[in-house]
Amino acid sequence: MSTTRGSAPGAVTEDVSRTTAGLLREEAEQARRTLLKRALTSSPAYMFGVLLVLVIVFSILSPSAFPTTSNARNVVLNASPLLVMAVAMTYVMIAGGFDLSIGSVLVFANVIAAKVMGWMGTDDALTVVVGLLAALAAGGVWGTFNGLCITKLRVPPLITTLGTLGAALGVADLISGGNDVRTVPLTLINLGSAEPLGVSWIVWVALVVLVVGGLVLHMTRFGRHTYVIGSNPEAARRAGINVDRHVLGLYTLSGVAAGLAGMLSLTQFATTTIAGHTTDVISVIEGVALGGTSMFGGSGLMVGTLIGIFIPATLTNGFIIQNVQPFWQQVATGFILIGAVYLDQLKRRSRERA
Amino acid sequence: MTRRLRMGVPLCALAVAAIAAGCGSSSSSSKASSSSGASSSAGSSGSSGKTYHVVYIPGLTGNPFYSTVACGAKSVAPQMHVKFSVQGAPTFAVNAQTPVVNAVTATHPDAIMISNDDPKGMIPPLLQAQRAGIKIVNIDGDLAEKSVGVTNIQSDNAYGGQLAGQAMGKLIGGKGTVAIIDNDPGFPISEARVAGFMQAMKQYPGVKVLGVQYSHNETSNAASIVSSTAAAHPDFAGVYTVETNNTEGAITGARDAHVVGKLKIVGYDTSDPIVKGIQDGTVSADIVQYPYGEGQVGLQSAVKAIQGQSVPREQTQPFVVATKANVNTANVQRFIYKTSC
Repeated sequence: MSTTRGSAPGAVTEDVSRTTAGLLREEAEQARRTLLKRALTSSPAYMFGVLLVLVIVFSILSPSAFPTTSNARNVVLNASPLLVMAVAMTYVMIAGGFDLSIGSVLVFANVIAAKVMGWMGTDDALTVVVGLLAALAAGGVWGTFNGLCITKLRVPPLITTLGTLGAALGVADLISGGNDVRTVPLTLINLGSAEPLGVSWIVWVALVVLVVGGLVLHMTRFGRHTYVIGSNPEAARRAGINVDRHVLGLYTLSGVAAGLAGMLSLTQFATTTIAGHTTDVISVIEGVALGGTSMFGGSGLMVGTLIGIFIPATLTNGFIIQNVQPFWQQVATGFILIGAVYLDQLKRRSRERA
Repeated sequence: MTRRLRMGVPLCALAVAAIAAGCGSSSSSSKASSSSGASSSAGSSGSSGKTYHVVYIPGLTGNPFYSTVACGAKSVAPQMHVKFSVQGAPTFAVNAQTPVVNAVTATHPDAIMISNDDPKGMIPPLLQAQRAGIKIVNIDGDLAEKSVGVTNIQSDNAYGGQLAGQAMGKLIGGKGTVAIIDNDPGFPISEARVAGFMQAMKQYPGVKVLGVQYSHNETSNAASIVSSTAAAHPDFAGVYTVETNNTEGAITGARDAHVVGKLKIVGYDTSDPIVKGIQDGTVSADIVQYPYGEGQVGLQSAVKAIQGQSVPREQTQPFVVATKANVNTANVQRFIYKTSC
């Protein structure tokens, strides 16, 4: 191929360049048109439609209970720690990986932060800051361990993080003696109940993580490399990207995000929640996948993750308000999720045909 | 055109699914309200005739104990003019229960009956509900803050554990190795049951009590703990199973290790397989609580609180120790859990 192009005679080159210029102009115009079309027909846009339908349906069914600010505030608050972990998971999954350990790492960071703040025995802003740093570091350690196992020892991500899923929870149980730690400083509890501009700090933190995560993913070289590694790690390596270092960074990031989520959970509940996070990873992966991130890496959008996290959260809330029998809720949620992704697949197929 | 049509069909299906799920509930709840409505119109001369809305939030769904609480409450709901419903999460955890409380609060019931998943962590969402004018009735698990909730109804778990310990000491004749199987670390109710048991075992210095083993609420794990402990300790004399699934698992484990009869199983809480085990002697003794009564008293307390009457802050419910000798008597049968109603 390259030899043919290299040996092209001058006369032909001129001809080619003229048509190329025309094609480029046409392409640019088409690109502008398709960009809008693509944005409107993208997975996130489609899932946003699904979310909107759910909100409208539930609002019509229970107009006095569902579409209220206090209800919306609670739904957003309860989804915030999941959203923080989902932002990091979006990176990991776009790079073609998985992190099953996040729920256990959350609990580990939860326990470490509570213990550190308990040991300090003080009750001021500094205590909370030290607790936060301890949580982030605790999460980061497990994330780095995951990353090293995956990149240096070549243990597949599913197995590595399945291992740390058990190990991190086990160590948390060892440190806490299996009992939830409830010695949380009052400063942190007050922080949890404060609502600057109408919503909890927890929500603001999650929002900042989402926005920063989205900007870095879509606007920086770090983000671009994540996509390249996910679609073809060998090509990324040949293009000079230090794939191992990048992947190590992503798993560390995922651990740190779980650590932050652990601190947010501690702020919200004023107790470690040792037994409460075994299904977090399922909710997070579900949210990221619903948002259109490929299960095989290479594609995904941060806004999709935001929407994806809120579809199951809205369903659960709406079903309870509608007083749907709890077991039926699980059945209905399961099938609606499959239905939503089926819709997206139909859309993708028609897009690929076009 | 055809493409849009094809897209539209599943989207509608999705909306229909959501509505259908909603309809399913409203038909069942309308049935409940129509029956209570009928009784309220019949009894309207006697009382105010107003129908109260009370929601019970169990610690987790699908648990025989909590289902029996719901059945008890449901049994007295029509005569108290209450539209009663149940909402819960499938896991026993504060972060699973909080969104349920939030969503139920949004529907503004007159009262919430709740089996709390954490004494401290459940305070903020319930305080929010109480501030919205909803009466809170705690059932089998109080809060650390006594100003939240009008009452707490539960049995004394430490005392129940002591009864289990006394039964165990007598059954094994004060010697041998004893194992304890609990679901998960970190739950105050289970811890009280274990602490009470340990207290009672102090009177039997000849008994070696192994540390608490955790089954994570898995019957199969409890079974393998029992069979492997039997292999490791020839003098394995008894196992104290702190929750339903562990007792069921211990029955299987004893059978697997061929120690049925030799190994004394003392359980806490019942289920159909456990009652069968007591009847055939596989389970030597079982501490049975009275959740049906807790549900009845819970709903009665809720209605009293709604009507502005005073309710005692602490209410206890009795226990019974079921054995092969007494399990079929009316007194014990009254306590046996009823999961369908």
